[in-house]
Amino acid sequence: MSENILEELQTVFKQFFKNDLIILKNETVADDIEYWDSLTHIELINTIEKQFNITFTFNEVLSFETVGEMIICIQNHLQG
Amino acid sequence: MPFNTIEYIAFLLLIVGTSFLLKKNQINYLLILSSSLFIGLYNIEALLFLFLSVCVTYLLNRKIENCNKDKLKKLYYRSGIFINIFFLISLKFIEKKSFGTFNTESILVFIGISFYSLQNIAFLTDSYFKRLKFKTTFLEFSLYAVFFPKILAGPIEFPKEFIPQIQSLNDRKQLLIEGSQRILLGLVKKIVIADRLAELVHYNFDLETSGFGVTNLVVAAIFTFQLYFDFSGYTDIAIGSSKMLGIDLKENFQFPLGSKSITDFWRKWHISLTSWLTNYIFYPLSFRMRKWNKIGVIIAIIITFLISGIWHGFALTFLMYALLHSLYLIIEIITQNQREKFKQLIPNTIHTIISTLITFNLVSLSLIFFRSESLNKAIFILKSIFDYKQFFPPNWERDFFAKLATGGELDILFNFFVTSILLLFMLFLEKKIRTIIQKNNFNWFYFTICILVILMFGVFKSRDQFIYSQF
Repeated sequence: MSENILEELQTVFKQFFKNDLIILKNETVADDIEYWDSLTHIELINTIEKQFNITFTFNEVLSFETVGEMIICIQNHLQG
Repeated sequence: MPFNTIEYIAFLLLIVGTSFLLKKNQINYLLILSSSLFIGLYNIEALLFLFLSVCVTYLLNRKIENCNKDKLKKLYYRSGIFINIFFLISLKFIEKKSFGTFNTESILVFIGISFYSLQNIAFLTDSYFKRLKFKTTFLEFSLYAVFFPKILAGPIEFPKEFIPQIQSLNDRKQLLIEGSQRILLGLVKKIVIADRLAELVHYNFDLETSGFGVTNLVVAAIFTFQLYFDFSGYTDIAIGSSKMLGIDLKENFQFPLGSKSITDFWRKWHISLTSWLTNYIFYPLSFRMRKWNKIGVIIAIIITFLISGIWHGFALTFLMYALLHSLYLIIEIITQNQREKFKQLIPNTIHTIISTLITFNLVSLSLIFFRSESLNKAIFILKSIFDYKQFFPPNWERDFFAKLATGGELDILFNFFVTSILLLFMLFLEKKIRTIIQKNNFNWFYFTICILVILMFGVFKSRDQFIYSQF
């Protein structure tokens, strides 16, 4: 399941940052992707919420340090 | 005891030396004692105030941790935030006024109330939202609050980064050389570069402001260099001192003057304040308004920068500085696609040069507000820069070179020439120097050169305070 989420997340990132070259891995961090910074982070979160039809808590958003942690959180929300 | 004095270096060496005579579990007591001494020697009222503030904040934190009722917990949290903001605002508001023997000015100048309050707020917030994965004792919290290398002007430390370090101190021997080399770099930046530029900036901003745009533009650029080398020099000394005691402080600057955009600049300039504002103001605001997409981000940027402006001081000049930067960021967000297209059209090197120059000048222009004593003075300077009739002076020697030489005498002009060479040298080599001194080898060549440069070109007559210690 986490591989499917990673794939879907990659599509979201590519569209959001308008960059088809983005390749996401579990260990990817904000510094690895151009324009992924504090100004774009919350907008990106909003796009991910819409895509997966989930709602993150603020503490969850602050705790994400890698894409892998984001995937685990999405997975938890999807499993209810 | 400012960092750029022999007294401070002697004090630091004494504490570092003593720390090697103690067992690891005794070092935190030494650090608390030395920090109290550092503050108390300057101003005993400041020490009493800090002690009271530490006790109140820690007590409220314990109440938050042990409380089962959500409403009561929220009340404790809000009381803690209110008390800290109250201290911050009231002490800033009564700035430079003395009440009897209780000298508020010296408290402000010395304890860096702005930096200290933000750390208390971070501690209470992280504790309330259960972001801290460890328990903190009173001793550990006190040290987090008053640790002397960062008490004057930061870096603003986050509890989750600082407290675990004092719970298990690093091996200090490894960090001694790196720390001392970093302090030397800071001293060169402050005494040799920033203080040499200070007189020129003071003359042109406060005494004989030019009516010609090009002179004012160059002076504004020179103030940008002065502020950077002053504040980053202070930070180098703070980080180096702390390293010698086994604690890593947050980096506050990552060569910001080479930034390619304002967004990039804020990632590299005063990083600890930007991170604090991002985590505790910008993220909570933009998260709440995330359904509004870009509009939410823009509102959050404006509010965050307004708070940052007020944090610097209750003055229209700081407010304008903050508003200008929020405007820069908003324009960057709106024009991102166009800028990206432009980037594809021209060679990378040319794009880098153009964007670095534009960013540097935008920052310099904003710092005219930051440095001017009044809004009228800032507007006068900006008008001269943007009025093409007033831009170039008719007499370059009198209205440009003489201004930069603070009066125009030949020896001062020569001094300015020397300062410019030292400035350029440091601007282009600082990154390289930082890489060299991060290695854990004692570099005799580096030590000798730094001491020689300080002795030959340093400014010792004024012992200027660090600019950011006034906040």
